[in-house]
Amino acid sequence: MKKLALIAGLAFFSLSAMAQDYSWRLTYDVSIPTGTFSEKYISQASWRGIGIDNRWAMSEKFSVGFNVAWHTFYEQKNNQYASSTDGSIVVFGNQFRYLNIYTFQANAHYYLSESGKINPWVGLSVGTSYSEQRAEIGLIALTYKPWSFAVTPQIGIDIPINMSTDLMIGVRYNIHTNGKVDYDYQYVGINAGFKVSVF
Amino acid sequence: MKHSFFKTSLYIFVLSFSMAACYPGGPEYIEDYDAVYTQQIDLNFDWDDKTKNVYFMPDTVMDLSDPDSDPSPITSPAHILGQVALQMNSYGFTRETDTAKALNSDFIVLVSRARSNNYVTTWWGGWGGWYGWGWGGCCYYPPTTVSNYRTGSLLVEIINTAELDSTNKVIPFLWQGAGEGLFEGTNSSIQNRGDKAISQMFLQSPYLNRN
Repeated sequence: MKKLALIAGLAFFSLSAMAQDYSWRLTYDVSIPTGTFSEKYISQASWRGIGIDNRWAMSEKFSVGFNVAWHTFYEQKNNQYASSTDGSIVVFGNQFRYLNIYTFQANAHYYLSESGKINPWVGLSVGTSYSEQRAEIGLIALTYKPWSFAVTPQIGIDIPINMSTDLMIGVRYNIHTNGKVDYDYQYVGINAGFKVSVF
Repeated sequence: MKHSFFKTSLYIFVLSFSMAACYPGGPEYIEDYDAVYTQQIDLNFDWDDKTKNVYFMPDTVMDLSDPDSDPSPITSPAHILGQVALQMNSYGFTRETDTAKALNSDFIVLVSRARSNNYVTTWWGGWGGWYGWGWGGCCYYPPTTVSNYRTGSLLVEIINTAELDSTNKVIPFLWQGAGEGLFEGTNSSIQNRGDKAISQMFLQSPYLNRN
């Protein structure tokens, strides 16, 4: 029964989508760590990130779709201590901290206007992410590779350039939950790029 | 304007991957690979008992490397033992120098070192260097390069003399400190980094302090 409902849902989505417009968005993403993620792991802003966003118009004001993103973080922290939980083992050295986050989410957006010179929108993405966290100390590396629940509220504007292309700027608050370390990956994403509409 | 779904998708994905080529930084200097590890092995030992402060240290640095390994050590055992004694004394330990009284001391300190060669074979050009099947049906293999990075370790261990069990050959380690890094650079640089490692082992183990 569940399978039937899923197939029916997908069929409805596909048929609806075929009759509607869709758009692709390619963005360059800058990420600014916040909260405990910034305090405990990486505080340096990331200039390496990319996002792809696909949206299918369900109506003039509403779209659904999916988005994928790759955000990389890096920070060198000199003369750092790391210790085991009970404190009996201590490692000292320069640490080279890396984090790669790959995000896969479904999204929904609401458009406040569609035909102005600047068209604002709000949205929410929900899904999952896979991360590779690696801290190199001396000749060893401590790695952690979690799958996370990922939720991203967002706002943005589209600035039409021509019939099919818009410049877009968005701000997203990315939250990737973490079970085994005492901080979630949280960061503000400033995304700039282009929207290409397909009619 | 008409766009095909696949054409647009392809355009987006190609752009994405071309932007993904950049890679963040990493260690740049030899010192960046230095690290100091310490471990309190016997967690039940009472370091708060400051009356235990006499140690014996053999005048030998055990070399755990292959005797024929290259490079040969650059720092004299006397210098290494001198640095360890300096740190022990600054923490309020008293050194017992009479070998006959070694087993009457509270602690025995052992110092060892190791060097190793780490050979890495790289295919020239990585995956792009694969020449595939050559003329005549067999294969051209890409040229390979072999590089070596040399690593070195200094190990300091403290043993609880009272718990030494010569019958069952049990060595009751209380604490160990290890300095590890690349065995590269000038002799004075390697020696300075070794001295810093010994100093850091004690700095990050304040419970050893007898003062």
